[in-house]
Amino acid sequence: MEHASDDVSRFLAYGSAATEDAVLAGIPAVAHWRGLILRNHSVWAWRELWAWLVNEGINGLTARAKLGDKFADALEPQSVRAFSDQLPATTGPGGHPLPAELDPGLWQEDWPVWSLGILLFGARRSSELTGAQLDGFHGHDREDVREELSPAWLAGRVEEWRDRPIRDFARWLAEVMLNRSQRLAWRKARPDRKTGEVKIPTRVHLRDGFAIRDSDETGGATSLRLDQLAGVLAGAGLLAVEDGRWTVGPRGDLLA
Amino acid sequence: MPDPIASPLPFIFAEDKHADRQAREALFCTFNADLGYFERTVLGVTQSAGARVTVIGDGRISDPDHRAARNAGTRYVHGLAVTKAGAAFHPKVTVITGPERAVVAVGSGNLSPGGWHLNQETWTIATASRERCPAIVPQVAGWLRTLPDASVIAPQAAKGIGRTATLLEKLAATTMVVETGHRIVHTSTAPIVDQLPDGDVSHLLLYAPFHDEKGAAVRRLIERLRPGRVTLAVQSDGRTVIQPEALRLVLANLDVQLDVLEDAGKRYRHGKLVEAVRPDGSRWTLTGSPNLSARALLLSASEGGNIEVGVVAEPADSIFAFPGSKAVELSEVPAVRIAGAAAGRAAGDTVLLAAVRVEDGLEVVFSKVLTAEVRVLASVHDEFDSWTEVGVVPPGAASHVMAGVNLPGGSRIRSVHGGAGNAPGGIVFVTDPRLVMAFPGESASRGGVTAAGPADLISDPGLLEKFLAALGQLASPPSNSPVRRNATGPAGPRGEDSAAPASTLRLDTAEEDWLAYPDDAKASLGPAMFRFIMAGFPGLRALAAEEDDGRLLTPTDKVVEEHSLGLETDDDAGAVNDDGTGGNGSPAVSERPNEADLELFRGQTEAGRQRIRRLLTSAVTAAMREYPAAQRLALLTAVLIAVQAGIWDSPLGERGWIGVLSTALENLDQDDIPDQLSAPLASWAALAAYLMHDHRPATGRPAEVLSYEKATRAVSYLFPAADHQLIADYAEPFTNKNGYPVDPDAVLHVIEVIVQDDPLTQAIDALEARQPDWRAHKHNDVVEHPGFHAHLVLCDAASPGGSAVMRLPGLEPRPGFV
Repeated sequence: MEHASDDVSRFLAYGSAATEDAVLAGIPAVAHWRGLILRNHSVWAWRELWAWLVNEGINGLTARAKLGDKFADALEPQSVRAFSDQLPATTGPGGHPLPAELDPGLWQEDWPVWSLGILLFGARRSSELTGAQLDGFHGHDREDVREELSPAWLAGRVEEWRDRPIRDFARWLAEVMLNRSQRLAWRKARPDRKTGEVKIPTRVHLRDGFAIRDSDETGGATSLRLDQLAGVLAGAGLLAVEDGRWTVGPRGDLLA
Repeated sequence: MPDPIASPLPFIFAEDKHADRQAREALFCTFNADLGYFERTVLGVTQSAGARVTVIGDGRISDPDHRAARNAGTRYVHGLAVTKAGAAFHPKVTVITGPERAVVAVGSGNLSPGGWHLNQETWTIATASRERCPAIVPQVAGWLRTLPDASVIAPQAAKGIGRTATLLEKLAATTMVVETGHRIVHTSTAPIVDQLPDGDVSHLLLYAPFHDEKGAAVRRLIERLRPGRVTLAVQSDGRTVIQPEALRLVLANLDVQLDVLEDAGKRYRHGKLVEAVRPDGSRWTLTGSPNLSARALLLSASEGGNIEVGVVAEPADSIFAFPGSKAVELSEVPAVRIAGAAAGRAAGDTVLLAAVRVEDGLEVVFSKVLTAEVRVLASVHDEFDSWTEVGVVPPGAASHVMAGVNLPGGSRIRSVHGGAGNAPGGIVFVTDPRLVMAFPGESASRGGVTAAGPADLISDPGLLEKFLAALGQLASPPSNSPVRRNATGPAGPRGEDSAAPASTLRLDTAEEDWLAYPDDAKASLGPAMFRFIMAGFPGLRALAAEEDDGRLLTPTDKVVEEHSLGLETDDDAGAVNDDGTGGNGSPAVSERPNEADLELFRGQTEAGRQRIRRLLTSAVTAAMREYPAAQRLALLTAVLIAVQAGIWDSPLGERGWIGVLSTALENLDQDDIPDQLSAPLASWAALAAYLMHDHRPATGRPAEVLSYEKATRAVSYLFPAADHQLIADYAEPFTNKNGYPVDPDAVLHVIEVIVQDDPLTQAIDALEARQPDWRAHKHNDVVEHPGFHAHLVLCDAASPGGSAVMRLPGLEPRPGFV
């Protein structure tokens, strides 16, 4: 193991040992972690898509409809179903998760295609995962399952849009993201009762149908803090680094 | 107030700080409305100031984020308007008004974060009071009156416009209107360019974020004002929508020097300004909603122009402020178009303007008569993305009631024209008229006298004293007070000044009339007491239930902060804990004494009871006749509740309650009772009459009997309006002298006897009161005269077979009786 985040994530998300190893299979947290890691791909994709949309789509005073057009233009004209069908499979024999999110072909696509592909994987997995894996994927709050932008929510929308153009779907998604960004910004904004002025913590301001970018959005994956965990375990002697690779540390016997 | 003024918002906060909740109506006219922003920032303080709220935006551009607008249709009216010619509904006018004060703002900012906070906008804001009213206030009222003809407006919104205009007119009619040098111009009746001041202009300074494609507006301004010099400001980075080449061609044919300034400031300039400098250095300005476009400046609404409102003023100093700007050539200005910029519907499209809950279904209103059927989709509750077809509207009409469609207020509606592949139109919120017309704060649990119900008053002499003192203020208003009782006609809303010519006080509809009346009554009585006099204890319980769901809904978005420990979700301040308390530990549901508590008041100390008796007796005998009708009724109900609560030891005697109640009943008789109050007032009066009838002495003609007869005679003309269900509701906590619940039918029987005014019937009634075991009826219809000999068949209920005929003594023949 060289990179805790990457390697542990791949092992837990897709590795057969995570479910077939007698010890690991008996630890509920492992299944939860599988769901969590797979969900994290969707989170990452939303962040990248939003960052791309804002940074590439808003230049000066930009009509908000142009953002949807920008996203739509990045996609081939086809139906939502056709777009989804050309994506790699997400499950193998027995429903075992396949590493669709790591598909090399998808990684060669531009951000909007990659993001939408990853998001559709998430939508699929919301009905493919079961048990503790699904719990980890959805989260513990049952009310969150169909929260806007969640995989289950997206699955419902994909079903509704299945036979409609993917470009229209993209325009609609852009509107959803814009609206959500403003709701969340206003959730944290407070007006000054004396001056009437208000500070809005957002990089994107909407003005009467126009979008203005205050500063660049940052995308990127949300950290699962596995590197930090490995560092803590190394400090406790449970793990060690040899030749740039993580190995069992001097007190590794305690892990058994 | 802040300088410069950012938006009307500080003025709304200032209105709220008066803490008298005098505001009745708030009207927000805008091109586009960010309802999420509005609900988070403006709605709460506006309703806290007392106003019911109407927001009107352009129907062709409207496509609200329905996850953000959780209270449209329930806490306020979101109305849409379109112009008949397909131009924009573009005014930016805000009005907060009541009988005491008004705030009127005319500006360039839409009801959005940009328009009210982030952009550079222009605002002209007038505040009016009963001492002073700027002239633009009645001018804005006049403009509001033009809107229904100049545009097609959602019905509920049009009603809000009417109510708002009425209040402004009434305020202006009862105060001193002062000229401030400001004048309203608008497109409803004529092009704005024709309403600009005449006279020579040497220098014209212009800025607007939008120009028309051909530079026609600039051209016409120059032709009309003939300045020697024009300064035009634009914003950098393509933020001004302008066609410089078209402008160059325009200017080539005009003998004028053009200077162009480019503002590279970060803030978006959305304000519009025409500033004209006269040869003597004085100047006038046009600010407000109109851009430098033909539809805004050169056309009236009937000619295809926008709905626009501007203010012409004569400022001492220039307001054309572009610090840090640099001079550029017109050729350096980028050409910017907004084609495809907005998700607006085409001018010829039929737009769904409103969906309103009606008795038998859902009424949908379109901007014009449908030429083909339209499918209607609905999304309810928190299912924001789930749309279900609820029906099809046939062609042939602009409005249609979809029978049996029962959607709660706040549900989302979209219309789909044509086949299934067509895109749905913008979202319209289902309006629940009952909820949006509720007086804001009706459910506010603020405590104090305005939150007090009848049981509160009788349990707390101090509270009762304050309550009666508040009523007393209404009895002797200052000469210019708006709360003077209307003594000359029915249904006069508060603020009607008998000294003012009636013709200046326009009430468009009976609804406006009635809405103003309960608003004022609630303001003085408090929402609980008003609800009680209208609907009894069942109404109070309903009010308490409404308090449960009366809070502003907020977006349901879940937020996970990446930096928070364990990725915990944000606390939900509005959450209700398992134990029923709110998130801050306060009771989640307000508590209000109810009829069950009345029994507890029997434990009131003698001193407390004596004080309550004294307060009520004093109020009834001294000032009650000077109260307005609702307040008189409130006092009557307070006496009734006190009677039931055992505040008096006896109905009889000088200190008995019959004397007080009969006086209170007699005092109800005034000529100022609005129609909508007739049934409640008659029903309460009936209950009072019944209780006196039940407790009056059965023999002889002591003072209590005479008082009863006098009082019931005075109000007998009201009794036909009494309602059985209302009597049942009102009588719910009351018992008769035997301790049994009051029977509404018995109440109706008593008032029937009173209304018939038939001595024979009254004789029978008196006889049965004296001999409860007897039943009497007429032997025949002949009543002999003179000497009043009535023949009755008397039946002893205990021995039905027995009967006797007796002559009734003690009944005096009255003049005119045959």
